[in-house]
Amino acid sequence: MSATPPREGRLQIALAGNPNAGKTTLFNSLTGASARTGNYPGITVERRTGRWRLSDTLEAELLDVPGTYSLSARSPEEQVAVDAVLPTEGSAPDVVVVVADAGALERHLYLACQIIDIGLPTVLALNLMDEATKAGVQIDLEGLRGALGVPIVPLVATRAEGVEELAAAVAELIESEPVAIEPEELSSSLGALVEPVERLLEELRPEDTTPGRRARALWALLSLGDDELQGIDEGLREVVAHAHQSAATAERDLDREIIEARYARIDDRMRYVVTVPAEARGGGWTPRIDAVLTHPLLGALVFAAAMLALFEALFRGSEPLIGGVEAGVGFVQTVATDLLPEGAFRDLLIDGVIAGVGNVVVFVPQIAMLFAFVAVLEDSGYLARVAFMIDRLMRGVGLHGKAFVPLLSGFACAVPAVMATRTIESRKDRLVTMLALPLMSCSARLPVYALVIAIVFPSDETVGFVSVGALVLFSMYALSVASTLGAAAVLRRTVLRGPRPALVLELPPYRWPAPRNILSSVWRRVKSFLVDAGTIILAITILLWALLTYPKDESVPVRFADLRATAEQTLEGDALADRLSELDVEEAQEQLRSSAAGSIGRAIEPVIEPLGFDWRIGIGLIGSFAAREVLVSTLGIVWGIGDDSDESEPLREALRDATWPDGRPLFTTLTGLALMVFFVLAAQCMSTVAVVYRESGSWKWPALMVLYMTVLAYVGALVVQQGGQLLGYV
Amino acid sequence: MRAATQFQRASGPACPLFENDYHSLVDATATLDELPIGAVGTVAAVGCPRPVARRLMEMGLLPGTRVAVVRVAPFGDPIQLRLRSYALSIRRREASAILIEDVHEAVPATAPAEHVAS
Repeated sequence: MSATPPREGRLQIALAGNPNAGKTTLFNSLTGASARTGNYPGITVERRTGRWRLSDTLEAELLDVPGTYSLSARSPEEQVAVDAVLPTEGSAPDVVVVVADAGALERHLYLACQIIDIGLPTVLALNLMDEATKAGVQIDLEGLRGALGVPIVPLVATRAEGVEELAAAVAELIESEPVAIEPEELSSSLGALVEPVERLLEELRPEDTTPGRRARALWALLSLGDDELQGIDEGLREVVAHAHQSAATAERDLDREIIEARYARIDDRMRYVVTVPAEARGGGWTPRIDAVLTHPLLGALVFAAAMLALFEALFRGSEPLIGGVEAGVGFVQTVATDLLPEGAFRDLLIDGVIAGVGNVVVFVPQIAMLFAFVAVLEDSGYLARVAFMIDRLMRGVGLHGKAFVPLLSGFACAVPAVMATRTIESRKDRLVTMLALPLMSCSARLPVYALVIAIVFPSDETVGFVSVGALVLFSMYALSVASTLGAAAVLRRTVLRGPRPALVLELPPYRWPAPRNILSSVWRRVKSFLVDAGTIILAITILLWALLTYPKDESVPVRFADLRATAEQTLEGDALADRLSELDVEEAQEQLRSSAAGSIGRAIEPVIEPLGFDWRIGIGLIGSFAAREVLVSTLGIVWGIGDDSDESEPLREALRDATWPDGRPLFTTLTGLALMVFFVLAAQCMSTVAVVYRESGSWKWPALMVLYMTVLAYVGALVVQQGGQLLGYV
Repeated sequence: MRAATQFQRASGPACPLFENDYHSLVDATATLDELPIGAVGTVAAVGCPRPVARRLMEMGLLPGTRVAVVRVAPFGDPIQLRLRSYALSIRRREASAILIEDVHEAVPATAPAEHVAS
């Protein structure tokens, strides 16, 4: 057995438990700053490990097992928890610490007993003891220890109470002789059905212990049959299917018998050692809070207020911070410009690398705010209530109730919103949400709408009381919401179809969120964004910069040097300064036109012409892949106005006057509308693509997203332009 | 009779929900979605498709378990249940496949006995 002390290499300890048992709090308090976050290959489950000092001489690696209600698994995501304690490959952990909520032991002991029955050295950490004691729950710790056969440590993880005792119990277990654990007892009729599975497992996995084999047999019987697991032995599948058939022939339900037997044992073991008063069974304060928070009217008001606060924070609260980041980047760019000699390297550093880092860091304020908010919602128990209240509405389009907060956050920015989909457990639900939410009209689209509306709709035009501009803006938001919900519904019925998962949602007791957990959650998200998505964003920024800069037309700087020299000879004072800055803008314009982006803009003109866009707008579309609002500054350069977006009036004038080569006006009302519709629907944002890659764990999903959104955008803009023309508008 | 008796088990949880409550018998059997808010009953059978049934049973919603309907979500679905000292929410669709027997309408434990009698 794996607990033979002393062991070579580092000790491995797994920390398992139900969701809402306080496992994360305990993990944070045991590992402190040493926690590291990674991903399991191929799936979107976070893998967290950290160092846990058990004593002066003992140090272990602690693995945070994803929260789960049981070990049975149907998907690779759920399989992670099983593999942590009952691995198919590699070695089992030396010790398993199971965290349980002392106030709801009946249900929490289901997982605990499943793990104890595997036969690994196990310690049961009874968390939330303060809450349970307050509710009048009485636990005879010695009696429970005797009944379960494992050491038990009472804890209050939020206050780090009992943490030393837990370390001592684990250390003692490691240093003591392994205790032989009996395999889970089964009735003879159930045993007869399980036996063939165990016999096969004896051949397949001779290294398993007897209790381990029984645990694995029961796992297989509960998990296999309608699963999506991979790498399962075909013989095992057959023998499991056969066992279920034999049971069905005798009008028995094997799943139910296994689960019932386990709960019967739990009830047995708890009967004389745990006393739960009736009030605690009812849930104490929680139902009273629920009466308000899930009330049809009061609940809706609180909910609206909470969402409004989130919105305000993401939109307005983040503004000074984002401004600060932008100012900081600008400052660094200025300093670098002054320090470095002119040349290609300086351009790369300033406009590629520093701008790229800026493009990454600029998301941090919103990500931090959203995750602080989500962590508070989740840890307090309110997020589950949001899902409970809104489920009916979200279900219609095939979304989970928990998709609401990420979708709403999409109005601010898709990048943190995509990351927030992690609160959704089911992989399919999460992917649908992730792929649909970039259609929500994010704040980066606003400058585009603002520019286009200012160009094509005079501000004094009104329909009734409302200005046409406001009406158009509202329509764009309506289109974005409708297309998001529509896309979700379609994705659910096509690429991500499948039986709609049932809602089985625990509504945990309300609790004060622990500040430490919130900080740790925020830090984890920010770090994973900076490292994983950030590097991609940085790389694409540099690539886009190169596209917009190279190849350089070498004759341009020479010609403009001449023009400058002439100007310096003929003009002076303000007139000279004006002329020089005019020349700078013209030079930038000419260089952009000769760049790769310029060539691509011309090359795609035949494709985008039916939408009413010429090659100059084409360059804008390419540039805006860095961030949508970049369209404004790119158009500024293309039209030779300069890239100062604060001075937008000259740009508006220039765009209003812009024409096709044959003299037709470029920015007709239809073209303006088509451009806006294009921006509502297009996946015009490399950061979103990068973060969807990071969160889905494969390039397949971001590729699908870019594809469907681009098609949608093209068709949408085409319908506006061509349909409008057919109807006789211009 | 929906063969509910065959699901009754001697080994069911010995701790009925809301021991101190006063109950009035409402109905012998019903499906879980038919129960009014405040009603308490005993699960007789979980007839959902296998993955859902297994998940519900593993979360303690087993034949023999006492379960109470606490509230209904603002839009009429899902419903909130209480069982084994915790709160669980499921949709009506799943609830309609769960058979409940021994249904009582719970009167709050705080109500004085004579008040109930009158």
